Amino acid sequence: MKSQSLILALVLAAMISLPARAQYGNKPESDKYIAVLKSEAELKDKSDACRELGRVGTKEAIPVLAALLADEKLSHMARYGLEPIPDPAVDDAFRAALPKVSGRVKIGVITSLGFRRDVKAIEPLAALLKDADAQVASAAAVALGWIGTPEAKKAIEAVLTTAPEAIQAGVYDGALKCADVLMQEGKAAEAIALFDQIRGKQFPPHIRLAGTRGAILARGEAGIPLMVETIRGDDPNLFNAVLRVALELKGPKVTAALADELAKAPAHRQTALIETLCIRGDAAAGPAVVGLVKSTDKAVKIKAIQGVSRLKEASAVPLLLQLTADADGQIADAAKASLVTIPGAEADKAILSILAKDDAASKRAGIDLVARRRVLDAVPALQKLAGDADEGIRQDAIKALGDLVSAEQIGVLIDLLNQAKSAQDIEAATTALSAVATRADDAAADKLIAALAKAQPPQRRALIRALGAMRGPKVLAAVRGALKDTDPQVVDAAVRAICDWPGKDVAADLLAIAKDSENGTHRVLALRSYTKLTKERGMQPAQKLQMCKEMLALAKKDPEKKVVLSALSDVQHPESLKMVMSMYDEAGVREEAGAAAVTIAEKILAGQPKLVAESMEKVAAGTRNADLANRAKALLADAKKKLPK
Amino acid sequence: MPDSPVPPAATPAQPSRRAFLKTAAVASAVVAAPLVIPARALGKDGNVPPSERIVMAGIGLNNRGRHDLAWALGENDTQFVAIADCRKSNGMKAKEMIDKKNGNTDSKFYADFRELLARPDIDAIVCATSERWHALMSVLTMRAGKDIYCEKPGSMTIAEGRALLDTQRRTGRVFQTGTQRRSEVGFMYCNELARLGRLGKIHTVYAHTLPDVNKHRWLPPEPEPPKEEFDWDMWQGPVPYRAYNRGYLAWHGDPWTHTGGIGEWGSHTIASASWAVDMDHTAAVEYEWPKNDNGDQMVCLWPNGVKLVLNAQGWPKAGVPGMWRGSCGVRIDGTEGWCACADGYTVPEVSHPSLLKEWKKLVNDYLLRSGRPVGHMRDFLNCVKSRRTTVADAAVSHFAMSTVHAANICVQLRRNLKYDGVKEEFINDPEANRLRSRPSRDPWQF
Repeated sequence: MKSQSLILALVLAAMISLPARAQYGNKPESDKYIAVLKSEAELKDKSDACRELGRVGTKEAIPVLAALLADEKLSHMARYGLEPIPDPAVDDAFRAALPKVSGRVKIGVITSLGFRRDVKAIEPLAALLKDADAQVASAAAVALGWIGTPEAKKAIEAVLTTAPEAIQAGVYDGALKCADVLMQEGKAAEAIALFDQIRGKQFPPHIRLAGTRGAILARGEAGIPLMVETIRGDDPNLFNAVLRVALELKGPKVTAALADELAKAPAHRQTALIETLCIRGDAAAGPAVVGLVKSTDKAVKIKAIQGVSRLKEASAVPLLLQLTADADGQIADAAKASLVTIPGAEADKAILSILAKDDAASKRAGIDLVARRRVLDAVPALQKLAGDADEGIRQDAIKALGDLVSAEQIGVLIDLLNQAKSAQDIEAATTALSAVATRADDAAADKLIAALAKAQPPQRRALIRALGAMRGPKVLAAVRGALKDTDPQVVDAAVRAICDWPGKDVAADLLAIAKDSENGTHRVLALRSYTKLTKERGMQPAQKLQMCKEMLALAKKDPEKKVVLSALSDVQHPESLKMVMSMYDEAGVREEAGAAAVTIAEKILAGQPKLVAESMEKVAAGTRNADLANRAKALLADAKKKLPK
Repeated sequence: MPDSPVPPAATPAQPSRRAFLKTAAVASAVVAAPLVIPARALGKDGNVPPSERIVMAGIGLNNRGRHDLAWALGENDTQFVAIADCRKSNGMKAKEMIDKKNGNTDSKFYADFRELLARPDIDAIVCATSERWHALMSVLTMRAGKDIYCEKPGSMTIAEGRALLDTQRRTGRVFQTGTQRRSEVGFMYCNELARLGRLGKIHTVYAHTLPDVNKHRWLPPEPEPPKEEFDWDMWQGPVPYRAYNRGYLAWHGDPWTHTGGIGEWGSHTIASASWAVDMDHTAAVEYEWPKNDNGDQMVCLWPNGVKLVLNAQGWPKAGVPGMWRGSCGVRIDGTEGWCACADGYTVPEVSHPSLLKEWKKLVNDYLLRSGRPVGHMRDFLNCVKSRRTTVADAAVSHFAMSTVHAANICVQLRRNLKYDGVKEEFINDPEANRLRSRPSRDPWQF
C-alpha cells in the first residue's frame, strides 16, 4: 500500500509535472478567453477568463497569462489560470516572473513554483531564503520543501540552524515537507539525514515530534530501535507521537516490538499501547494483550478485555467467561461485550458450552451471549432450556429463540406458545414470535394464521400480536377477523394491531372502531392513529381538514375531542380555526382548543387577519394559561395591524 | 485496516500533560494576570485545576462559531485565553462569552490570527471562519504546533484536503472536522446496525444534500469599512480578491467561498455515510451525472461496491414524499432492512421496529468499545489529552470532501466521471483533473 505522502507526489506529478502534451485544453474555449485577456475588458471579465483558462487553457494561453503575473490586480488570477496547465512552459513563465515582482505578488509566484515542484527554481528560491522580506524568505523555504529533491534539501539545510527568528517557522515547515517528500520518493538516506537534524534539541518541541516521526518512518524496520527508545523515554508527548508512528510503520517486527514493550510499560502507558496494537490489527499481538486481562489495574484490564476481541484472540474466551461473573459490573459488562464480538467458531463452541452448566446464573448469561452473538447452532440447546423448570431460564431461552430461529422455523415458537406453562411464558413466546415475524415471509404468516384456528384465547392474543408485526393482505384480513373475536383480550390485540398498521389501508377500520367500539380506550387509540394518517407525507390541508371533520363527527367524549383538536392544530386552514373555535366554549376542552387555535392562527395570520383577530380576542379573554394568553394577545395585536384602517 | 493512520491511545498516556501555571510566565508577556482569581481557576468546587486544563483560543467565531465556543466553554477542562477575528464586532461578542466564563476581562483580542498562533501558551484552537479559510487555517494552526477543532467543510478543493491531511500526519497534531453527527447516538446506532449485519448486506446509502446551485458573483464596489473594524482583505483570505460589497458576506452559493448544496450538507452526510460502510479511507470512485445542476440523485460508487446516492429532495414537500423528517439525513439500505437518521430524531427510523430493540445496548457497546464520548467537542478535547485521533479526523474530512468536490466537478462538467482513489486523479479526464486544485491568493500558502 502506498503511503499518502507518496500519493501526494503522484498527485503533484499528475497535476503539474506532466511532460508537455502535444495537445491539451480546449482550443475554441481557450481562444475565446485569450481574446478577453487581450481586450480592454473589465477586471471581472478578465478574472473570469483566467479562471476558465485554468480548466481549458492551451499552450497559447501561457504567454498571455504570464504577462499578467506582475499585475497586482490580476496576478493571482493569472496563477489561477497557469498552475493547472500541464506544460513546462508554465514553469519557465513563473521563473521568468520571479525577479520582476516583489512583496505579496512575489510570494504568490514562489508558491506556484513550489506547487509545481519546479526543480529549475531551486537556485533562485535558495537565493530568496536570505531575502530582506521575511515573508518572501519563509515562502521560499516552504516552496523548496514542496519541491523536495536532494538539491532543495541542501538549500534548506544551509539555513536550518541559522535562520533568523522571523523565518524559522517557514524554514522548519519547508524542512519537514522536504524530508517527507524525499522519504516517499525512496531517497531514504537523504530523508533520514534531514529528519535526524530536525529532531535535534535546539528545535521547538512540536518540530522535534514531527522530526522523530519522520526519522522512524524513513528508516522502516531499522527505525524500530528508535521507536522503542522513544516509547521508553520520559517525554509523554514523544511517547504519544511515536504511537501514531507505530500505526504508519508496517510489518510483524513492529508488532512484536510493541507487544514486547506492553508487559514492561507502566500501567498508564499500557492502555495506549493496547489501543495501538488493536488499531494495527495484527493478531500476533493477541497473546500479549491476553496477558493483561489479568492486570490489577482496572483501566488496563478493561482495555485488554476489549482488545482481545478486536484482535480476534480466541484463547481469551475462557478468561472472559470467568469475568462475566466479576463482582465489578464494568468488568463483567466489558467481558460480555467482548464475548459478543470476538469472532470464530471456537468462541461459539465455548460460549455454547455454558448452556450445559448446572447453575442458573451461568445458563442465563450463556443464553444472553448466544442470542447477542447470533449463535445459530444454539437453537437445539435453547429449545431444551425452553422447557427448564426454572422460570427465568425458560423465558430467557424462549426470547433468545426469537433472535435465532429463522422464519421457516417459526413452528418451533408456535409449539412453545401452545405448551406455555404460565402467562409469563406466553408473554415470552409472544416477544419471540413478534421478533421472528419481523423477518418472516408469507409462508410463516400462513403458519401463524393456521395456528389461530386451534388456539385458546391467550394464545390467539399472542398470535394476533405477532401478526401485527407482519404486513400483507392475508395478515390484515386475519387481524380484521379477530376484531370480531369473542374474547375481549383478543379483540384488544386486534385493535392495537390495526392502530399500529402503517398507511391508509386501515383508514376505514379506524373510523369504524372510533364509531362503534364500546371501549373508550379503543376509540381514542383509533382516533389517534387516524390522526397520524393526516400527517402522512404529501397530505394537503384540504384533505386533512376533511379527515378532521370525519373524526369530529365521531368524537363523543372529551379525550376523543382532544385528539381531534391535536390533529386540527396541524392544519393550516381558516376552516380548521373555525372548527377549533366552535369547541372553545366547551369547558372540558377549552384549553386544548385555545392552544390549537393559537397554533393555527400563527400560521395563517398573514392571509386571515380578521378571523385571527376575532379568534384571538376570545382566546386571550378566556384562557387560564398565561403563556397562551400572551401569545394570543401578540397575535391579536399583529392581526389588528394588518386589518384595513 | 484503512490506510489512514488512525489513532493510538484511548486514554491519556500521562495523567497531566501540561503545567498551565508554568507557562503562565510565558503567557503573561501577552496576557495580564487576573487581579482576582476565581475559585474555578483554583480548581475548587469540583473544577479541573489549571494544570489539567487545555489552554484554548478561538478564531472566527461568529454565529456557528459561538455555538462551538459555548460547547467548549461548557467543558470544565478548557481555559480560553484569546480570540482572533478580522471583524472586531464578532470577535468582541466571543470575547464577552469567554470573559463571562472566566470571571474577568483578561482574554486577549487579535485582529490578525497570526499573532494568536504565535503564542506558545495556547494548546488548541476552535475555528469557525467561513469555509474558504478552513483548510488553510487548519494547516497554519498545526504547523504552529497546536491542535484544532475546525468547522466543516474541511476543504474547498481536493488538493486543499490533501494538504490538510498530510500536514496533520506530518505534524502529529489533533484535528477534528465539525461533522458533529459522528458523535451523536442516532448515527452511532445506524452504524452499529450496519456493522453488525443487522441490515443484511449493505448495498446503498443515501446522503442528504441541498438543492442549491453555486454561481460566480461580481458585485459593484461599496465603501470599505475601516480596517480596524473589519479587515476586508483578511476576510477574503485565500480566494480571489473582489472589492468590498456587503453582499459577499452572504457567502453561501458562491463557488469561491462555498462548496454548494452538495458540500453544505454533504460534508456532514457523506462523512456519516462513509462511516457506516467502512469507507472513511477513500473517496467514491464513480460519479453518474444525474442530468441536473444540483447533483440531486447523483449515484456515486465506493470501491467496496456500495452505492452512495445524493438526495437533495430529502425533506417532504407537497405531493412529494421525503426521505427524512430533519436536516442532514442519512439512510442505509441493506438486503434485510434499512435505517435512517437525521437531525431531530430521538431514535433512528428503521424498516421494522424490531431493529430498535437493541437501541441502548448497541450504543453503549459502541461507546465502551470505541472509548468515544457522546459529543463532538468532548471527543476533540479527550483526544487533545490522549493524542488519539478524533472520530472525524483529517482523513475523514479529506475523503468525504473529495467525494463532495468530485461530485461538484461532475455537475460542473455535466458528465460521468471515474476517479482513481489511490492516485487521487480522475481517469482519462484531464479537464476534470485541472479542477482539483486552485492557488491561494498571496500571501497565503499551504
